Order: sequence, then structure tokens, then C-alpha cells
Amino acid sequence: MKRVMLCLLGLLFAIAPLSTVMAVELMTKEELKAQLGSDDLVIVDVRAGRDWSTSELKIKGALRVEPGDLGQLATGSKDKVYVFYCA
Amino acid sequence: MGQTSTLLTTLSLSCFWVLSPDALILNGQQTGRAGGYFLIALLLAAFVIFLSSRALHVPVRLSATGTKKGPGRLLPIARLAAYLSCTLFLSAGMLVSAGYSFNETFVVWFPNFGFAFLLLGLIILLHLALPRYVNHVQVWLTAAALVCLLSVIGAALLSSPVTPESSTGEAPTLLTTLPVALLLFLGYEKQGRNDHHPSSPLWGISLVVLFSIALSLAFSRHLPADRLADSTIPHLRLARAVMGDPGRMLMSGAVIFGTAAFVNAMLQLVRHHLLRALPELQLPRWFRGLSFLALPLAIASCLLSGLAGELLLETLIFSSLLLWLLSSALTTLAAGSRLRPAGQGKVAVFAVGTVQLVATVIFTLTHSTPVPLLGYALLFLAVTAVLLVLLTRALKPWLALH
Repeated sequence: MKRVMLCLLGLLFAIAPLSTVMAVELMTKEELKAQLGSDDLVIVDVRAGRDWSTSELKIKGALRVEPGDLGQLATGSKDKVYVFYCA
Repeated sequence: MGQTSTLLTTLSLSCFWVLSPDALILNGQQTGRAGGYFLIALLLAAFVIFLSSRALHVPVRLSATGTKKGPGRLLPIARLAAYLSCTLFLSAGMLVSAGYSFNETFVVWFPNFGFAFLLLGLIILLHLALPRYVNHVQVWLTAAALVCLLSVIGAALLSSPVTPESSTGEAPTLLTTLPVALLLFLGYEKQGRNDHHPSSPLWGISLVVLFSIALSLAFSRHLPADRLADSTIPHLRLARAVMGDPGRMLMSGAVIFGTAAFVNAMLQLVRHHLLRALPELQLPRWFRGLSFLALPLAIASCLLSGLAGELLLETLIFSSLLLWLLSSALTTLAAGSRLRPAGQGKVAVFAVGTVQLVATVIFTLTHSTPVPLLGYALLFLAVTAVLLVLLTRALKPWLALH
């Protein structure tokens, strides 16, 4: 529960500076797979602790950011699509 | 048959830690950081542990002053604190690892935490419903983990090395590597010398050092040093590099069996020491049952709380390992203080204990966060001391009435 709340808080903190009003959309894995390799897509792996360290499966090219450090994404390009995934 | 069974149990209890997922990771990371120095450190560590084991398990030449001298008072608390904290935090971490291995390798729709709880539940059920078979299951779990690991290691050693030259950029030293090497032998103090197999401690230590060296060589032949040093799953990378998908399945199996063997062994260890720490009391059956269930419930609570998703868990794990190293050193020093003051034997044991103590200090100082590491270790010691005092005082009045 705590992890879900942290993910949501991090998401909120990252998205809010990018636009005044924005609904957080969910993306299916099929939709994501279709966009893999696109220059406009930024995949952010927000798994923490052993959720990340013991997992063998990581999306190639994903940016790894600790849930508490999502603010650094605020300086990123506003034209790109940011996809956050966790455990 | 009985003698063979005892030896197998002794061996399985001597290597439950070195075959566990976290020990495999330590081996891989240290191989990447220290290279050949790690192999030398393993041999040195085996020698140190062998000398310590001889002092612990040779019941001769005891001083009439008994165990009250030296670190005797701190030792039971340090040992119990080490076992309790390792059981709690290492088990929680490894159960999560096992869950991910199961989910990502075998059954993708089965939730990883669900498997972690299932594995814990099966072990609890074994201890409650079939306590007579706990040691048998331990032997089988250890054997299964060993078969999986030796298959991958054997394939790695027999195939041509493919590792390009690389460096982590750090200058390795024997001094910083030795503590980690000593860590891999933890649990040796529980290898009992028995009348049927007086050399069983030597067999256990030999098994650990040979396995660790073989694994380290396998790592260095197939994975570059910089990737090893930073990897959190070096064992899975090795398996994939050497054998592809079948290798991943074998190594995931090793993770699951190794986790189960570790949790099973540690629960036995803690139960044994908790009951030994309260020797003057005839403990009621309800307390024995409660004391057993409390720890697995605490492990389950750690899983439920999401601790596995926090970096704090790794600090807690290393604090627990620090305590375990410390209690090993104190155990050796206590054994030395029990020997009759007769020349070289006593000096040698104290020297070995001092080496272990210095290694503990180096382990603390070379960790990335030494202050929290030490802080949590002291906290575990304090909590365990308070727990023992409270338990003793709480139970005595109750027993006096009965």
C-alpha cells in the first residue's frame, strides 16, 4: 500500500509541473510495445529495493529513477510521453 | 544409515547460507571487485574458520574457570541478535527474490509476493505438522540447490571463457576482501563435531571453500568485472550467459531451493538458541509454540509492509551480517578463554578471534553507509537484550504460581 502511494505521489510530483491540468492515463503493455524505440517515449522504471534489484526483467532503454527522486524529470522535455512502471 | 544421515544433516546445515541467493550475489560482486584477491581471501578465510572451528568443537583442555571470563556475557545476546535479525531480514529479502524468480522464469501469471508467502507458509507448516522431517527436508532442499548450482558452474568451467578484459577502476586489496570471504562461512559454528564423524566440521568448511572458489572462477570466466561488481543478479546473468534459458531455469530453481533451505535452517537455529538462552526455566508448551510462530509472522509482516521495496532492507541485512560476523569473533574468543593457559593453542585461538574481530571492523568501515550499519546493529543488540530480560521476568512469576 505504501509503495502504491509512493508511486502515485511521485507520479503527481513529476506530472504537475508539466501542465496545469492533466489526467494520468494508463497504458496497456501492447500499446507500450508498439511504441518501443520511439524517440518521443521515455520509460521510467520506478521500482525500488528488491522489486528492482532481484528482477531479471528490465525494459531496454528505461530510465531508472527512485520513487522519491522523480522531481528530476521536471526538467525534461514536455513534448515526450513519460511512461512510469513499477512492481 | 543413521551415521550417513547425521553427516548429511551436518553438511546441509553448514552450507545453507553459502548456497542462498544473497551469498551468490556477494560472491559475484566480490569477484568483480577483487578478482584473484578474492580467491586468496577465500583460502585465508577457510584457514581462519578451520582454526576457529577446532577451538569450538574440540571439548578438551577446558579451564576450571569456565565461560564467565572474556566476552562470555555479551556472546549469547550477540549470537541471538545476529540469528534473529538475519532470520527476519535476510529471509524477507530472499523470499522476495524467490518470488520474482518463480514469476519471471516459471509461471508468469502467479504473483511474485504470492509465491513468497506460499514458500514461507509451507516451511511453517513443515515445522508445525512434521517437525521430525525438518532435517530431512533440509538435506533435500540443500541437495536440490547444489545440483542446480553445480550444473551451471560445471558448464561454466568446462566451456571456453568468453570474458573480455575489463576493470572496475578500483584497486582491490586483500584486507577489504577478507571480511566478505569470512561472511561466506557464517554458520560454521553450528557444525557439530559428532562421535561418528569427528572430521565433519572440516568437510563442511571444505565444501564451502571449494564451492565458493568454483563459483568465483565461473563468474570471472564469463562476465566482465565491471558488470559483476555492480550487478544485483550476477548469478542469473552467469546462468544466462553459459546456458541460455535452461541455465536461467536451473539458477531460478537454485534461488528457490536455496531460499527455502536458508529460511528452514535459520528458523531452527533461532528456536534452538532462544530456548538455550532461557535455560533455567521449564518453558511451557504454549510459549514454545508462540516463540516459534512469532518469527515467521514477523517475516510475513516485513513482506506485507513493503519493506522489500525499500533500500532500508539492504542496510538492515548488512547490519544483521555484521552482527553475525561479530558473534563469530566473540565465539572464537570465548572458546580461547575456556582453554587451559597452555602456550600456543590458546594464543593461536585468540589470534584467530582477533582476525575475525578486525575483519568485522573493516567490514563496517568499508560499507557505503557505516554509521547506519553500526547503528542498526547496536539497536538489534539492545532489542534482543531487552527481549531476553522481559521474557525471563515475564515467565518466572507465571511458573512460580504453577
